[in-house]
Amino acid sequence: MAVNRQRLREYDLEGWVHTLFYKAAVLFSIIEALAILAYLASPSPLTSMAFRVSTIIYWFLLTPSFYELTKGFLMIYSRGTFMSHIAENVRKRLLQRYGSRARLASVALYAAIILWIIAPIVFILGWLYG
Amino acid sequence: MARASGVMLLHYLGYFGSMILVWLVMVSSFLKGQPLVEVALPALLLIASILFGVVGLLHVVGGGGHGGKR
Repeated sequence: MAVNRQRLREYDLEGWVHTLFYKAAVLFSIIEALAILAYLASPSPLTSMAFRVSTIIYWFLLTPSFYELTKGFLMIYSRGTFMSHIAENVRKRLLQRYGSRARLASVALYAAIILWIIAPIVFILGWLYG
Repeated sequence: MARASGVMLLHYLGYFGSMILVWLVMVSSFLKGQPLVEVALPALLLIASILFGVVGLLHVVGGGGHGGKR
């Protein structure tokens, strides 16, 4: 298993990061559940802070998964013309047919990332100034 | 096989549900005093994170499911 992880890291760093964060998120989701349970059962400044801090950590751990998920959907939507490893001659032919989808996918990825990043900013601002 | 698929469905429901609900909980946090925001969304996130975590620990990270030992 350790050898496989090492190979994945060398071959595909993005995939390795996704796997690492995914496993950490699985473990941390139990802590998140306990923090929410404490916050809902007895709302107090302490449980509220625990809920907010754990939610921010959970968001951080889910970030690589969100990126991979969005990228995957956009790769499907653009019929493989966006961010996929295909031969250049095949890509050119696909772009002739699905060029508008490829352009839209490249914009949609950045829009999704911005929307994803806005959430903790709103959350922290609401916490500090709400 | 069918049982494993059902378990994985629950896991991925929790996984994708967590992603959406974390975002919704964070974005809607400025709406103070509304039961939907202060109770319902965190309660749904609680259910999603339990599904993601418990099923994930038992069947994915532990190596019992399709995700298995990587």
